[in-house]
Amino acid sequence: MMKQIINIQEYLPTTITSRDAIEVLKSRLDVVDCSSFVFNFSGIDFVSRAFADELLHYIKNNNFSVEFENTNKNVAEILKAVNKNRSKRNSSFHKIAVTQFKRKEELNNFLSLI
Amino acid sequence: MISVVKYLISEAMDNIVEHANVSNGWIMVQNYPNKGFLDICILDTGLGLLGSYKAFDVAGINTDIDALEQAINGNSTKQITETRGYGIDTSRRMLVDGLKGKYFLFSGSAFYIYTNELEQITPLNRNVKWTGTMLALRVPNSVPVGFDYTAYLE
Repeated sequence: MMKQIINIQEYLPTTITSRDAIEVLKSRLDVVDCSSFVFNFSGIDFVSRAFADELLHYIKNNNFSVEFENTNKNVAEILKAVNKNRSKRNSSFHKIAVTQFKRKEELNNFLSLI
Repeated sequence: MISVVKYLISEAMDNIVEHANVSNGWIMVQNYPNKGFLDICILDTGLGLLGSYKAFDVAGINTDIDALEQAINGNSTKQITETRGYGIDTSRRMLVDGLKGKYFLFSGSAFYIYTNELEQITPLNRNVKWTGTMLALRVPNSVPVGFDYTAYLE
């Protein structure tokens, strides 16, 4: 089976912030002839957590064999963290105090002190 | 520090794309070098938190207070709940617990505020509302010793 190299910089900006950006990469993958891909992050400065999640989700769902190359520290850390936490979720609920202000002046005073 | 700012902005902007059901939003940034912080405001006039939960038929979320509390706890409107919903929770902890900044989230007739001094949700008069979602971040210019934003990544 052939291995396809995807040079991400050719298709996406150096800072990738959107989950939707994965759609651009999907359209470039030759999924007919390849099931093994190399994602080359050369020139990519930053990826958002959302993009990393979507990318990993897509890879897992399609059972692709994938390598990540030339990831800088930021990109590597985000991919690593997202991958690590995909199956474990902190389910504890964080209860937050609700405080209502009866008068507008009280609210204004509160906001001015923040 | 640039990576942290990018992270915070990217998460907020992605929430607009994913949940607000609008084609555009706004971002305003003001640096205050003498005061030692950067203010960032990201907003949209979309569904809002409550509207987004309702649009996805998420049960048990009936008020703006409920919606804020659920969003902060990472309850995503999407089906893939184990990998979604980290953005708000991670961002607020990274900014406040890590950087000693301030986090403000306003949607509908309630807002959430989180600083090192306080954390609360405040409901407002029904006539006072933001139809959509408004996020305001105060990011200190100096990074506390030992801060590593990757420690907050999930």
